[in-house]
Amino acid sequence: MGRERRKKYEKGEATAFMSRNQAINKLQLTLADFRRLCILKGIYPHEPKHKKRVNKGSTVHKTYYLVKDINFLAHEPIINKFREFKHFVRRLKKAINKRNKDAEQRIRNNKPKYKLDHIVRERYPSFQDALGDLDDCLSMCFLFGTMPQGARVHMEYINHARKLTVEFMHYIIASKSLRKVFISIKGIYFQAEVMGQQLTWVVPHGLGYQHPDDVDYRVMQTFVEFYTTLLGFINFKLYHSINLHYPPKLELDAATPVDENEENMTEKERYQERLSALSQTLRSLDEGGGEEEVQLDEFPAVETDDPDRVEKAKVEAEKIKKLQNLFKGLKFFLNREVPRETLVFIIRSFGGDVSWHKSVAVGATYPESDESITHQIVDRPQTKNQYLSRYYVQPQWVFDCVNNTSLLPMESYFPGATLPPHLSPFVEEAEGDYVPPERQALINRQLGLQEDSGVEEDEEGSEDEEEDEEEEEEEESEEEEEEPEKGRGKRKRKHETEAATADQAKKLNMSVEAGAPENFNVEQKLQRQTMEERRLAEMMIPKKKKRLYDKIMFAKKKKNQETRKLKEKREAIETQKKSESKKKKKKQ
Amino acid sequence: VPHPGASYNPDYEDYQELLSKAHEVEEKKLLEEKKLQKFEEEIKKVDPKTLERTWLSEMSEGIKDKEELKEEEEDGDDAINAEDLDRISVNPPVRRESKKTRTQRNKEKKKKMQEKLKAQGKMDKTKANEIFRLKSMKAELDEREADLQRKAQERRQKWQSQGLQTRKLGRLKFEEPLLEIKLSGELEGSLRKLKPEGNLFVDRMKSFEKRNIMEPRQEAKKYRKYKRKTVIKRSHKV
Repeated sequence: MGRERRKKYEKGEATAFMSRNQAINKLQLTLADFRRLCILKGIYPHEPKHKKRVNKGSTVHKTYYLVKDINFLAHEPIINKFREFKHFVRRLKKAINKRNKDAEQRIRNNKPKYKLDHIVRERYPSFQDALGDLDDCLSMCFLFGTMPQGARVHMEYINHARKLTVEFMHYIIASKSLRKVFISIKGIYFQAEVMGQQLTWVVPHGLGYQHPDDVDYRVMQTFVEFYTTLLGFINFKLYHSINLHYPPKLELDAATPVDENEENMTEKERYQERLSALSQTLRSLDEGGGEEEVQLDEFPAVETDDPDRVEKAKVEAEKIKKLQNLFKGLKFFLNREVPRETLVFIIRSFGGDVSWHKSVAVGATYPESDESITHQIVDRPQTKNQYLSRYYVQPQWVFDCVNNTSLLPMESYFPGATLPPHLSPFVEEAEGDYVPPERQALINRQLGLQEDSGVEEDEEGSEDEEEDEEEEEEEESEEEEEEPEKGRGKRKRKHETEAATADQAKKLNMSVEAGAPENFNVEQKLQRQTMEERRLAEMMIPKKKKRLYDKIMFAKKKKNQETRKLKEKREAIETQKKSESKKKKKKQ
Repeated sequence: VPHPGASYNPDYEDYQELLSKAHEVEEKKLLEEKKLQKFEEEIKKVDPKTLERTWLSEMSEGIKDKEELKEEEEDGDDAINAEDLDRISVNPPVRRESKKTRTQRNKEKKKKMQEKLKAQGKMDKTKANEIFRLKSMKAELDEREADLQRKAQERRQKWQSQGLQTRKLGRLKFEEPLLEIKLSGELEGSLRKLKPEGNLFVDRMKSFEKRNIMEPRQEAKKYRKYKRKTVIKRSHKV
């Protein structure tokens, strides 16, 4: 009678996990090789729910892997390559120790190599998967690409990473898919939209690099080894998606004469240098095809459930188009003290032309004396021999223009001026959050609420600045109040203008004037509509859930109060400052 | 995505926010340090004599003193010798009168049997009647099934939400990296004068550790297995 008694730890969690040492023993690899394999294959350690059960009663902390994962690893052909490499090292050592030069050379020539292509294809079965995982890959490759030469990492990894990132930047320039930039104290953050996916990566600042000691470079190198393979695949696909040659070919390759700087380079080096200058466009696969205007398809509004969505998409597309041609027709010249590559990348991806002094780097296209230059980017308080035909601005102007999606007034960015704060484009305020006035001005400008007053506002020390702002805020609040009656405000304004014209008519004894086109703001209309919809939805809330809703609304109200308080504080500080400065002026 | 206050030329409010964040972290650290210090001071306050006494008493816990031993010997005279203990039963002696007779046993057996039969009959009856309870039984089963499924779902969700958390993957615990911050005196407001803060290598590494891709690690300390021997050369004249 009765079953055989089960032994402990023969079922369940204890059999699902494996400690790292067990795994290493099973795969017959060294620890370093095991780590490399795990990184390449994307196998990460797991924390079991009940460590004691898994560890057969002991509570020692260990690193655990899933047994299934380890079994999966066991089938990887690269393991054999690792073993071969081990044998290679052993043979090489022997030859060296015997001072057998011939054998040594022969063994060196037969160094085993491995490829990671199949792993990339296995880990990312579709292109979208790979794009989704590209953030890490880009950050790592850019980081390695800017690394100085040193003993910590093999040069080939650095060069490879550099090459691929340059190619990727060329793609971003050609496809005009850069969206946001942000200079932080750590590095420069970029955000691009590639095939509907948002990619964010960070590039280190060029100077002042220090090697940290507490980082395992071998592990980082393995990551980069995999990521460079991945980025190679992705670049290939991306280049072909917009009809470009891969590997990239420069448009004016043969035409440009050899520079003084380039004289000592080999053909290959010269080509790579010119490519990484980012100043030339790439050659397209279909010669002479040129750019064609992409017209957004007209979808009949009946088919989609929300007719506003089509409108919205159109507005969005319009915005993006405007952003993509932000610097079109502008010619920039970079002084030698500004971060060249970053600025070239940004300016070129928004359609501008850019050059620098030819002694700074290879690839300069026009000299400083070119009269058609519109902007020169300067990061020193004073420059000699200024040209009258161009603006001299600090580099932050370029970054702020991009985040603002329009060309900002340049007054506050002139050399030597104290710059306005560089705001993060990654912040998106929730409803009712406190928004500092600088940012509010920026947002308003983006919405096109006050395009004319923008110039005035950024002038330093202009005293009507705040009054202007207040007026605008009042206007906004008025609009909000009037929202239920659609477009009443507009009609009111119209009436006013009509009255004005009537007055004029009295003076002028009848005249016919051209009617001003009605300013039809799609965005405002949409906003109003959403507000109305929300109000209707509120009425439909059942009694049971009404209480919760009221609670939420109460919390919102509280938050609003807080933000109002902050605003008032800020205003008080500002007025105080102003009065102080006035006093000072009077004294002077 | 970086904090907006980490801009090289930050907005006042954003910068203050970041500063207050860093301040909180530092304050926590200080508090911990203070706690430790306090503890240390308290230990130092205790004078060495009492310390020695407590140490002695603690160490001699369970060991009998000489006096105690003597006392025990005196007590031992009227007690039973240790050797007799295994011969003497603890249970009370069995008396013949209190033993059950055969008839008594038979009666008990019969009674038990009857009870069993009765219970069986009752069960058969309820079983036969359960056919009428089919509907409610089904409802019960369904309810139970739904309950189990709901619980499993909850468990799964909880586990999944925890999957995004940083877990302890090895010997070491993940430590949040230091907040990179520039003090207000160091903020230059110019890209040319900017000195980068923090290192992206460390940043990447910490990011991997935080997302459970890598277990946190420490560099192994280098040490010699044997001490180095120093010998003065014979040729060297001191």
